[in-house]
Amino acid sequence: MTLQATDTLLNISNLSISFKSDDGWIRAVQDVNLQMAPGETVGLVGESGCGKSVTSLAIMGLLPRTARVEGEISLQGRNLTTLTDKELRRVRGNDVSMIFQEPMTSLNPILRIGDQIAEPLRMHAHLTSRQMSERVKELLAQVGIPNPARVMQEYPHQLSGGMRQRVMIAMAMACKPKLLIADEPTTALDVTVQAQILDLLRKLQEESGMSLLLITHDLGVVAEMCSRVTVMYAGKVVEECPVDDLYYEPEHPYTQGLLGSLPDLDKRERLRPIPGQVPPLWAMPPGCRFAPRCSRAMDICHSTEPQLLDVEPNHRVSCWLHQKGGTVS
Amino acid sequence: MSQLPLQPANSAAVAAGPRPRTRSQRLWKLMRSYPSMFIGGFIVLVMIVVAVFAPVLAPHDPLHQFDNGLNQMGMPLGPSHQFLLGTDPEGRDVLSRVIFGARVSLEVGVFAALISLVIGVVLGVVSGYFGGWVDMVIMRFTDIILAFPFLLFVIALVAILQPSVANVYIAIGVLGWAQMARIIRGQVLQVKEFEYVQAARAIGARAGFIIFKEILPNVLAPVIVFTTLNVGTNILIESSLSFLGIGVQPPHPSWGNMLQEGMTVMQLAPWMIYVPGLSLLLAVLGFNLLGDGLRDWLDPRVGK
Amino acid sequence: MTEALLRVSNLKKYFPIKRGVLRRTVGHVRAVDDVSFEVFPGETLGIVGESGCGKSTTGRTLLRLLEPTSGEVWFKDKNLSQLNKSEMRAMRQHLQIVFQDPYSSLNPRYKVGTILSRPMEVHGLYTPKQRIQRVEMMLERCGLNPSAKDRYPHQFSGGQRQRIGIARALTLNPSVLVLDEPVSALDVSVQSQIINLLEDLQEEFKLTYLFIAHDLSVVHHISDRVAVMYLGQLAELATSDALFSDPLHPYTQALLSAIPHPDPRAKRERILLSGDLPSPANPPTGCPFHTRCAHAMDICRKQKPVWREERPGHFVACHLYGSAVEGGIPR
Repeated sequence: MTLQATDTLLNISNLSISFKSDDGWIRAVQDVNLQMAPGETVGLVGESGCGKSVTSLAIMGLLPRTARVEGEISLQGRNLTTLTDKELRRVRGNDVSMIFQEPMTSLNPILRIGDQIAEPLRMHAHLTSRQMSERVKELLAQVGIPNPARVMQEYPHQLSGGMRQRVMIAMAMACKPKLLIADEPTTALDVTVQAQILDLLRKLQEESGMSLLLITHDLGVVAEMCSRVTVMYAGKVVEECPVDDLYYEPEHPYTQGLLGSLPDLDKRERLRPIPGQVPPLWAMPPGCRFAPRCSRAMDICHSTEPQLLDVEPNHRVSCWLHQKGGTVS
Repeated sequence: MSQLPLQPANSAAVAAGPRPRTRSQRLWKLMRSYPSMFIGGFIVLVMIVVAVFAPVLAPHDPLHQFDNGLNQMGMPLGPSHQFLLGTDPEGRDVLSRVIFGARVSLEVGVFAALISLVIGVVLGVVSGYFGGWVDMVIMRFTDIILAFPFLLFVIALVAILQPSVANVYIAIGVLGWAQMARIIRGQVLQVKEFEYVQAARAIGARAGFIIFKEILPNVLAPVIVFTTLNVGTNILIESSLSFLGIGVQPPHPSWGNMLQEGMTVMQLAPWMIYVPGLSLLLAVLGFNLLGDGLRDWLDPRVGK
Repeated sequence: MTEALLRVSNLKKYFPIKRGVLRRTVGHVRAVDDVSFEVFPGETLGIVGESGCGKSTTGRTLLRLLEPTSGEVWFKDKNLSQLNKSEMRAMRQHLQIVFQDPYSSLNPRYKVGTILSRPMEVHGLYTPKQRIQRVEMMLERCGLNPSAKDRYPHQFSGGQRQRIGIARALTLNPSVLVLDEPVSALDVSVQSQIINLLEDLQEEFKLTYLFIAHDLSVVHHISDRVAVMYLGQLAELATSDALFSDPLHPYTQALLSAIPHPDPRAKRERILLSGDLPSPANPPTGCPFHTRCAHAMDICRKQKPVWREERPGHFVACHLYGSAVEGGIPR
């Protein structure tokens, strides 16, 4: 695939990630493709164990050494999978930053907030301590923390969950990254705080023009934040489309099932859950991984894996219902 | 890191775990993962066999003073065909005495640990489960026990009770529960907060039922580990007491009083020190290895 | 209207804050502060609120898993707060609870069959043989294979364990089930399975639910009536449809506007709340919400609003309603 550096910031192609277990290699992620343009917000959606977090850790180069990574992750045309640890450290925090679900455990409990935020600056920028403290104050103000000078002197446990997430975002923004990966950034927060944090992320993105990869299980958050969505199931991408299509014309039965599982605020109908459960990584069914739970599964679904193919421009689905060999409904 | 990168735990992935294998494969994996547990277990097993079958294994009566047990100068004999590990200054067979000494060590170590276990678990559970002033009183009492120099305390108690094997383990056991009580209390406090304990309360179970059926089975692991380690410690204390002359009384053999007797003739008959000394070292090492290994195995947070 | 099955009046639960060597009480966290409501037979009353609002404590205090500081809880004609320990233990047969965490709510040391027959054993119900039959029946009703009884909790997924937790609560044939965040630890697709299951069981066993959750769309979906809590107090209570279509309390309005809507074309006016939740150890005077309320008036800072029935069956605690101000909030 040829790509111009100008229109693609991140390009993941054929990414597979395996972990060693007692019984050999277990593949957590298989053949994931994902492109992101500068300034774009892409949602990576799926339930626990679908591989979305592992994918994001791979982009950051934060997977344990024992993990086997195949395929390519390139940022501005530079393949991250071949970088040395030292080169990766320079990319991390500088070009790509990440925020996590649990802001309490992501912060060091014995460091003052000011010192934590200064950490990435110390590694990536050369500032005097005075400039540093000014920059930290600026960052805290930027993420909407009232009274930055006081908060700098405080410890993580003195802040509320929402404030801690703001601090995490300030740290991530310290070196003006081109890509921010947010792994379930609001899952641990209350709705009103979630609204504040999402608002903040949008504001920061407008100001800095960075791209945002939003990893979440919450389809409401995706609808609100993202322009494009990639849906993962059991380690594979099942659907990839503009956000409107996801809600109005979902093509993959899994995506349809996810939407059917959501309670609707406007009308109270019985929910239409997906039956069964996600298969464990070491016992993936042959063929389409969703087939055992799919109400429209055909013979071919149980034997052969479908490909991720275009059904419309910009809308790709991995499902036999949309491919030769299956009957298109 | 905030999250484990591989997190199958939330959904179906935990169910059943990877494919089962044969029993011998599992055992081999266990041995490779926790070697200290098996090495320790082996040493402990040998010690138990020796102690139990002491009358069969010992070549001689440990109390018998052999007429040919001393040389012309009245000195102990070195290793020979008749006395494999030599004799002591009284003309008794050292090997037989070491074998019977294992019996004493094990007896004191295990019984003392069991006494500590019962007292420690009862006080720890009561303290942790009921809390409030009960907890306060028990824990302050525990603090006081821990504040005293343990060995001196035991010596004093044995002196009051008259030195004998039973009194030694009673003294060690009755005074050695404090650590156990603390560990158990901490565990109970933790387990108590789990929702299955709340669920048991919600179904209307009594405190006794909850303690015995819901909490105790879940604090068993640290109890087993600590008791195992305690046996090792107790063996050492028994030897110290006997060495000081207030434990097992001569002529009955104990590794401690054998060491004491050997001290006097250390220059001429070094085996008198080496044999009980090494036995002691090995026994304590065995229990410690076993205890540490069990901890790693039973507590998934440590080790693998 | 039918007689209430459960009547909670002026329920309070304060947790002492202890400091220093002597563990002296230096203050109280007012987790539940003067809460009153009724639950009618066969209905689902939802309690929503953000973390720390006291919704879970309310559930546990009314079951006396936590001893209330004051207030009364009536179940039919029995005052639960007056019962002694053994009477309360017997009463628990009728009032059961399902917990949030499907991992810590089942004792890992026992097989599912043992876990499920425990409640019946404790209450001396049925013969051992009948218990096994009942366990199998409950497992089946909750969508599990009866053979599940011979396996251990860790062999099941989160959703399956939650089904086991529900089955355990049902073995005693209770009339009231307190559901404390029963689906918030589950994935979306599994969550909907459990919600449907709860709806089916309610119908089959004529259950009354107290559904405690922070997820507003789930609460809206499953509840007949919904109570909103803020800082240990009730802000608003109404039928689910009335509350979600026409919220009266400014807090409820902010809460509802914050729900991310799974529809990219839906444009919603969002009321962003400023600031953080005040500490329940030191709640604001007057109305607890006044520090973050866009409509706060002088009276809100001084006087606690009364709990009033603004419309039939629609209760609210806010100075904007009633005599203080004509009309409501300009919306």
